Amino acid sequence: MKKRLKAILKRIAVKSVEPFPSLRNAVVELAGYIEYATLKRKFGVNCVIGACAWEGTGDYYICGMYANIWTNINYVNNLCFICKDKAKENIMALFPSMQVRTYIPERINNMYYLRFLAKFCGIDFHWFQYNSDDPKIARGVMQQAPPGALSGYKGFEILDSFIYGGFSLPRDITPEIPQFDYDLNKIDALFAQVSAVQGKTVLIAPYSASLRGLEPPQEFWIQIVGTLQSRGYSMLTNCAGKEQPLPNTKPLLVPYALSVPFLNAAGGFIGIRSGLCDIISTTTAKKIILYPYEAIYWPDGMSLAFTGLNHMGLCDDAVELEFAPMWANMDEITKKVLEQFE
Amino acid sequence: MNDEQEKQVPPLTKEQKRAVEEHLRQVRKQLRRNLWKAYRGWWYWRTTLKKYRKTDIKNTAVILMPEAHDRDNYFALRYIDQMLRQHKFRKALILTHSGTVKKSAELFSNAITAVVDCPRKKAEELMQFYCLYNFDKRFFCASLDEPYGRNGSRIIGARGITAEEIFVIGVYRTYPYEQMPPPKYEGDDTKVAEFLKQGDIAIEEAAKSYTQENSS
Repeated sequence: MKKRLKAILKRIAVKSVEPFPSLRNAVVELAGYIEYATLKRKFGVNCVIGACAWEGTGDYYICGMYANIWTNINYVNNLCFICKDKAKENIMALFPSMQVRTYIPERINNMYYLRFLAKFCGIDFHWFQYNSDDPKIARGVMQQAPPGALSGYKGFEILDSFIYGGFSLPRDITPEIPQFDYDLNKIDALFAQVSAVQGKTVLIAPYSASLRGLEPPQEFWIQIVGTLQSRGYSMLTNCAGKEQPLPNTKPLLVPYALSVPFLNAAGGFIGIRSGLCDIISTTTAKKIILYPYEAIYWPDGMSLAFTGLNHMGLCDDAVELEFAPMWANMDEITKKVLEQFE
Repeated sequence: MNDEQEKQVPPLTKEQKRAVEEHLRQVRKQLRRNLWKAYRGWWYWRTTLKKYRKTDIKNTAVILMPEAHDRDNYFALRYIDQMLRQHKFRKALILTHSGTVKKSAELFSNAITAVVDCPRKKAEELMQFYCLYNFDKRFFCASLDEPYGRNGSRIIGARGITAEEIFVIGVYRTYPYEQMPPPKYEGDDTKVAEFLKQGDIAIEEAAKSYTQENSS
């Protein structure tokens, strides 16, 4: 009750000063302080707070790869990483050697205030997402630049932005290796759950949080599913929550810890570029990554240059295909995808 | 926070709690100090604009050069005309405490209304106000590392990107990047000549990053 009242009062305070930017932001700083104090009282004075884009599955994965190195170099022994939910926490759990605690705040939106305070007071809060932040808060060169001007510029990709900008590490540093769960019983159980055949299964990932609304049209997937099924493949759709499986495919939510072992056994992955592609980048299965032309967080046509898996160095065997504007080369892409599963 | 995590976090001891409260007291103090600084920054901004209100201030970009760092100041002056063109400003007002900038500004552009002496303390106040919110589109903070959180220097050399490019795109918000010719100087002021050497350093750096890019 007390907490609820506090939240309501805070919201009223923020709303009432909405028309006066400087006063409003001063109130936001105070709200940020409340969040900061909550975290410090929970984790202790020496805890350092880290965060990245709340929704970005791949961003958490990249942070997991480099957070431990960063903590060692900067003598941080109590990094508390803010995760949006349990799923994001599971991504960080792929790096068990990490000396990092995760924290799921009651309201992720309140963390926005904390970011305000960090930029205003220079507290021990680290936003590792160098390439993206709210321009209202951030004063970084990538936020000040015209939208997306530095994304993909001269080949500057998203991993560069994390390593150089977010973590301030040398590019050739060896990242932490994720540890997946290779329990054969669990993998067999997943295959049994959807009656799929090992070595003859293709997992399709048609959804992406960073490209929401920009997914290829349904007929593209229908053609791929139909043809591969006629070639004897079991077709699965990776979907969670309200996401719907593609027609004639079985829905399956593969836990992150099992994603790579599952795909190694399945044989194939076709997905629109999403955070899941970062996580499964080390799989030995055939992986076809599709890049829509349009983008939300970087300029159109720069998806491959800015987020290409091979270009980022996460793997070198991904088959990466980029759509033309308005899906003009859809037939060509379909043909190329199907060629991989002859 | 879920139950599982609750178990993971051991409760703080009395001593730790005391340390946390002491730390939070420091943060509150810092917050108060910074809010006051931001207020003073607003005051400085207001009085500066008032002072130059008769010089077409509505179409004037106000460029703060907070550092005595020659590299950033040099880029700020060299790309001033390009920036004014792109953002549709007619004139520029420079706030700096660098003596060299005052001496050499006129070599770079004819659109500079004045070079105002802005002590470091005032610059910090103005930047603190800028950290509070984007108060005016006319304001540019010409530095790769200030205000706090800009972190432009971190990506120098990444994929062969030069400091010059980061400055033009990320600070002056000018895109696409187009290199401007350096000014010519025939005077005998050694400080100015030294300052203008930044142009040669930038060219050398660009050449180095170009070869690095090609070799990779």
